[in-house]
Amino acid sequence: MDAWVIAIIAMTVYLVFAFALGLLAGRGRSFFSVSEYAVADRGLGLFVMWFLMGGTIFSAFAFLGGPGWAYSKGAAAFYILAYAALGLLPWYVIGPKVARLGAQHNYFTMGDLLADRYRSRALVVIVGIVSVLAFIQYLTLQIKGMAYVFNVLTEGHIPIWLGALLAYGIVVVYVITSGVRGAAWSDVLQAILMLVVAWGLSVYLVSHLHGGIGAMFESVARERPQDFLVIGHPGSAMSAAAYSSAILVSMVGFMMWPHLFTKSYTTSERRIKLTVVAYPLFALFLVPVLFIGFAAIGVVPPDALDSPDQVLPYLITHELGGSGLIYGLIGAGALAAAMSSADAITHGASVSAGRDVVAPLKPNLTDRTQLLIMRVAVVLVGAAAYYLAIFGAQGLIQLLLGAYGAIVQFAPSVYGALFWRRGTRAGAICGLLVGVGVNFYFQLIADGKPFDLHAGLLGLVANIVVFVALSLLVPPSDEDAAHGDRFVKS
Amino acid sequence: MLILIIFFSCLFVATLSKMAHSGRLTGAFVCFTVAITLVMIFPIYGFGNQVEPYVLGMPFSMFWVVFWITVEFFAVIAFFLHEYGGETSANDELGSPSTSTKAPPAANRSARSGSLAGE
Repeated sequence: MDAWVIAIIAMTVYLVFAFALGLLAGRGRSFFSVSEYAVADRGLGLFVMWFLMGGTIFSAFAFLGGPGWAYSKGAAAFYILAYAALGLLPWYVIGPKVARLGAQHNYFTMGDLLADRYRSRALVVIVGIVSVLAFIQYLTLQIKGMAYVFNVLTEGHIPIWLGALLAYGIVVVYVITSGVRGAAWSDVLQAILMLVVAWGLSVYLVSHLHGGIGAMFESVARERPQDFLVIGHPGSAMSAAAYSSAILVSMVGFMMWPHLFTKSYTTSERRIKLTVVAYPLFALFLVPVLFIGFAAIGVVPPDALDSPDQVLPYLITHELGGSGLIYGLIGAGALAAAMSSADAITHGASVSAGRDVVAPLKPNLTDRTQLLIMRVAVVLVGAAAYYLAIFGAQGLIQLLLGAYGAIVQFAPSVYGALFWRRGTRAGAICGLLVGVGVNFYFQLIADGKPFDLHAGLLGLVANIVVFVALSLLVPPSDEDAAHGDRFVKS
Repeated sequence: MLILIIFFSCLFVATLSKMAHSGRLTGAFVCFTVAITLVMIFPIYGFGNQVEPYVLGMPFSMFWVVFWITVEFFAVIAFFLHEYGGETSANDELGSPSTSTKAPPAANRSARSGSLAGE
């Protein structure tokens, strides 16, 4: 049998498993409850929680982009470790507070919290629209990853469009039927699979190609210019300011992703804290993934790749012999990485669209209608991302960084809601709009950025200045201040 | 250089533990978060930003990041144990008051335990 046929069979077995698990997760739970669909009736266990959060970071971005960065940009790839390690820390402080408020006032989304705190529907709709757009960009990245893996490992026998349709179609179905629980349980399977594959691959490639980590980095130092393994030197891929501000934006932005923020509502205070405690492990798990990229230096000729993101698939097809079973296993691991992020994002986008965009514009929806809107949104958002992934184009990482820049702009409103009683509606809305605007200007329109700082950080500074200044200039009414006080004290 | 870093780290840990014991647990955690972020970015990352010496086979610029992630891991464990040390997980499931000084008012607690009762 040809290697690619075995690879397809192995990947199909995995897909069937993931599909079954995703469907079974929702069995015996109410199909028609918004609370169950959105936040699993606030009852997810620790084990599932940990993999749900971990699976999100171990995305196609980490699996394909991580080695790609290590291979092409060297030390700049350490950014991925830093932000994975730092991103969840703020949750230790805000998570329990959000969980308490959510249980008291029956929130399902970030928009619910902001709507209640600032008493503004406009703010929620803005947040909802920005989230859904960012989600689509982020999803596009995952779908591209899935399609790419399928295509390369079956030696081109499964075209890009079909691979993406198969893998992502399964995600769409189990998100629709099982909601957050489907995403959570399939993430457990996917996270374990991709960790095993990533580590096995890394150990094999490093020892097979170089004989050890030390020898590998010595060869990297020989093959690449002097400044490749440091930041901010003349020959480095990233300046000190660009590197630092990218970490800051990613760290502050991490918990502002609505699909992660919403997880505060799915579990208890103690489990939130335990998840944060275990999380740095996921950052350490990423270390071998970067080794894969470094191992490729001096082995993979740069002109053999169209883009650095292809370095992992290239290594698999050129350095692992022609075993179809190994192709299949690695393919399944890579699919798992992409799918475990895709399901959480798809779910998050559907809840945001239903709850934060449609519901405020059309009040008095019944639970059932809201749920129907969310399920329709799964299909619409999925179709949009699928279209972009197959027909649109942009580098993998730029895409994620681009979306991140806009998401991080929620931070002042959210932190303001939780910790600053004087924050006002006008301040929050104007700050958010200015932040998003500045971010887009420096990211897409301007030729250069001041001091080479990340566009999201520039937006964030403008955002905070506007939010604080407006809130202080036009102080809240006594009633609004008392209302804000309740959130700070809870 | 190394001695200076160790000295300041010890001083910092001592301050944090003092804060935590005097009941400002959230404050201590925020300080810790800021500190661990600062070591990952410039200007402090500048100390780690060099190829040599190689540690565990990794260039120093990478080892620095991995080292601080490891420190972070043990630090968050310490925070958690400080807060939940004497408690068994069964207590949490029932929503019993934690040892934390930041424990929310009774009304919130009962709301939470109510939502957990269905498990």
